[in-house]
Amino acid sequence: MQNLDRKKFDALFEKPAGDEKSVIIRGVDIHKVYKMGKQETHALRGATLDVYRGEYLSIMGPSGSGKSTLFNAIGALQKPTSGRVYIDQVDIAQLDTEELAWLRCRKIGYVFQSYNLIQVMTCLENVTLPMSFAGLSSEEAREKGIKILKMVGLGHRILHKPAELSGGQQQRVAVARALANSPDIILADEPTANLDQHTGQEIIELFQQLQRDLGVTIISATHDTKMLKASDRILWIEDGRIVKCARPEEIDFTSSEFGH
Amino acid sequence: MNQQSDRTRIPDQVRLPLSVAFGVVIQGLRIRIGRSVVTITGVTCGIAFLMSILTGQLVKMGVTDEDATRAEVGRVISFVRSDLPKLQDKSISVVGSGTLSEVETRVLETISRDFGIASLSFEQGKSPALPRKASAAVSAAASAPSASVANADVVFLMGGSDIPRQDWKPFLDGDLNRVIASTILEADASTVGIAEERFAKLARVLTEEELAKIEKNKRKERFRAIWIGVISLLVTVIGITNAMLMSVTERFREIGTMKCLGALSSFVTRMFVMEASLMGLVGGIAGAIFGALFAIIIYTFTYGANLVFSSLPMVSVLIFGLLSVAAGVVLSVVAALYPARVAASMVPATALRSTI
Repeated sequence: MQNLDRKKFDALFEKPAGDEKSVIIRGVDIHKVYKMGKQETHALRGATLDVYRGEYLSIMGPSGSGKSTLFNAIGALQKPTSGRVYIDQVDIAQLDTEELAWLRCRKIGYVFQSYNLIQVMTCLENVTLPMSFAGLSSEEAREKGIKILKMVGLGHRILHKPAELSGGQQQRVAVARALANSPDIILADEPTANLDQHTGQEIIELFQQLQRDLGVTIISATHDTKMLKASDRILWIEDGRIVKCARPEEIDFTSSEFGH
Repeated sequence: MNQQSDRTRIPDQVRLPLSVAFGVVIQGLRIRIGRSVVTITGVTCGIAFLMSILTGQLVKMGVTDEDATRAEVGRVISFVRSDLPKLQDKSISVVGSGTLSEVETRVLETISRDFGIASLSFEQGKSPALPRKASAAVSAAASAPSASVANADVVFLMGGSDIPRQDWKPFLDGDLNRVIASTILEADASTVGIAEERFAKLARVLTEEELAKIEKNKRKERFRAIWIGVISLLVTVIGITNAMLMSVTERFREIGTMKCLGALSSFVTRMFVMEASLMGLVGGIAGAIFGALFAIIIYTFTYGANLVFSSLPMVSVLIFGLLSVAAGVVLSVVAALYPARVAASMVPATALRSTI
């Protein structure tokens, strides 16, 4: 990759003729090795993937397959041992910590399985925190925060603490926080795993709404069938590699793989 | 590769002003008031321990000095009573030079209270800082010319090593019962220039053995004070480090979340340093006050309020108090710095994984 000239590099991201999609995240031959003392664990063994702008992509795989590691790598939360990750054509390996912070702040919104809200802050403060990291004044942030919380259906709970809310509501706050700086990408790691069927469905609908109305790219690691069904594309990861890519309509969700 | 365009496309993250960090810290402390109080209590306990030990040492040293002073005053006064009988009927005059020692001041005070002083004169216009009672008794006499010595029955020579030079012959010849007494160490009959039987030496010359013993005791006391100070400082360091370590490590996840949301490492570090210094300040002040009060109250039971309060050097207590507060702030910051830096430099994914 080092010797690739600019023209050839840009050509990598050019749309193929007749294809409307443009690539927003590209992972090339990602390897990740964790070292525990002398023992090496290969979490990723050469995962390669493209994520298109505005799509709803689900990443699927059994636990221990490297799903979360891939999620962290393409979300700029952890640099891979080798291989390249481009977010919006920027190689994240080239970025220093301050640039990475900027990237995380404005380009990507994160939603976690366990919400990871800051418990001591109110919903509004949780949502406005990333805005203040982006340099917004507190009045602007407040106004925008209230708007976003209303959008996710929590306009009446803005001054509640996370502990006073149900799991579904907390996850909505987390989604609102992810949207704080109007990111291009939302990365969701098992967002419905801690929720019951009904509230899980609500979060899925929220994601679909965001994709439709705001054109946000949504990437979620999950094995919730409802979530898989709602997505545009599903990637299978197994043993650190992407093994399959399919549209939900091509898949038999009644197979044993989905626990039926 | 396309490094140049990378750099132009991704700007550096906004560096937030100090006030934002301060706001977050204050809000954090206010909201997690329970946890903050626990941490502050940790600091308070450490500093209170340090301060009580320091104050205790001051009290003990003060009481020892006070005891010695009182013993010496008692000795001089009993000597005066036995050697110069019927002092209450006599006219007493004091001639001084330089500054009076603590013992001399008290002797003067006692004489003035018990017998009354007719005249007081000091060389070179230096008036001693007399205790209120004594100065009231001699206020009239002080302005009188030193000629009033001529009417006195007893003259006390007091003060520094400069023995007031004076021709005592007219005074002593005026009445054969007239005597001179002196608390000046160097003064004796020959140096003052009078006959042995007309001179009462009140100062006691310490023997070499006594001096050596005092010196040895002082050395022992100093060593003990340093030893106890070091140990208590160590205990304080451990206590505060523990409190700060806990308060930072239990928030690794929170730090990871903040970094996901775009917080810079420097912001995280700064936040924790600010928080630590604030808690250190509050804990330090509370600890210094509690520690000093605790030590004073405890020693009041042992030695009595009178002795403790008359001998306690308040300025030293204040200085030690300020030092303790400073120690609280510095130790808190130092103790929080390491875990805060570790947390701040963590890869967000790692910080998020940690479960405490």
